[in-house]
Amino acid sequence: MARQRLPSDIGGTIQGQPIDLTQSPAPDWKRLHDGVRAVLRKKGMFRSHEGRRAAEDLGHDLYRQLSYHERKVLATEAVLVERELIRPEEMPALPAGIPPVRQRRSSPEAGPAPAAGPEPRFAVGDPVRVRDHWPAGHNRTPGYVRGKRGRVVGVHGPYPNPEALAYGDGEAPRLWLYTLEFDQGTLWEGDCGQPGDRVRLDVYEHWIEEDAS
Amino acid sequence: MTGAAEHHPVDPGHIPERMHALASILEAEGHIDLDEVHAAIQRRESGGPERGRRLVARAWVDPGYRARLLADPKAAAGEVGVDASGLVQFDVLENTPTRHHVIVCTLCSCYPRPILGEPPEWYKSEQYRARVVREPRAVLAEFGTTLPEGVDVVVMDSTADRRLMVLPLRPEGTEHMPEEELATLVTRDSMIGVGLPASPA
Repeated sequence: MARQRLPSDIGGTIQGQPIDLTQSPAPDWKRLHDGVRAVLRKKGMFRSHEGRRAAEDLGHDLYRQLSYHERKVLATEAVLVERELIRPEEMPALPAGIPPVRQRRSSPEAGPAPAAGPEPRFAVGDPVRVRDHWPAGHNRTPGYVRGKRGRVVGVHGPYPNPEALAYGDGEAPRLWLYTLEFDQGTLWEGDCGQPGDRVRLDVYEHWIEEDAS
Repeated sequence: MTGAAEHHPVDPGHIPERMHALASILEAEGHIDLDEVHAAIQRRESGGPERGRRLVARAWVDPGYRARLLADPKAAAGEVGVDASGLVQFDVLENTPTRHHVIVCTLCSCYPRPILGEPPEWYKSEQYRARVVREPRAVLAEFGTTLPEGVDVVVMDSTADRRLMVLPLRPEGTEHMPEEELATLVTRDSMIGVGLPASPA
């Protein structure tokens, strides 16, 4: 199976490039966008998960070339077109290179959605492995932990499945959510800090397997 | 900043124009009211990290509060007048003499806005998101932060609906400092984990 990451899934892909710490005042269009999204969310016309998925749908090249807020504006527009709240012909023409929208999308992983059992399958302390699975659809499991061994350090939820929330306004099945912990040395090749250094992150139940080893 | 300017696919004036067109259409169709939008912008911009500072300073002076902040952070935030009710789940990561936490969202920019306000630009940068999970100590060094020997770094990647804040260690030499003064030592960066609280003057 091709290990193709989503455009947003960048954890661990850059080393050594300095972080630009300059802070500039937010331009009006960015503030307007934040306000519009807040109102749409409150009215149930927009979900953050859809916005994240629509930004990923721009593809790897555009995701990289556009700034963080430029992608968000295009993603908001795409979701509103999908939801038929605006019509593409009302908007200024899209610049060359930006894929036109677009009908309402469904998850490329269509199939029976997993749902939470009455009790969590895993408990704090359990050794586990994250599935080595590379779906094309939106998900919140970073590539850098797939196939890796760690342990459960927290149990939360159940919470609605973001993989379903990203594709519409229907109900999403709820899933148990776990905080997993990984030793830095198990995640990366080469020098990556000191022996006790760790990464923690939250992973939904259907991504987790018992660690048989 | 991204180094991609030479093959930037969009005319720099295009996105602002697009955003304004989008807002006008949504209003003309009756989906939004621009007064509501401006109220939402004001709410968003009305608070910053001073809210988190209040939580930290209270936890430093009151062990009972500290225990409640770690056990039920939303309720504990309410005790000092900070409204965290909009968050699905809010958790506080306690630094200890042997463990230092750093928060990131590698997949987007999840951040505890009701507690710390808008995230700084660098928090959303590809460099921070991509690097801090892999080389946290090099990233901390860029923020001028070096940890004492024997301290493990735990990077927390916010991949789900839990929003997180670091409870930093109380600086030495502050034993007699009152709560309001302690709050001034708590930096935003110390609650993200890339920095440490300021030292007393």
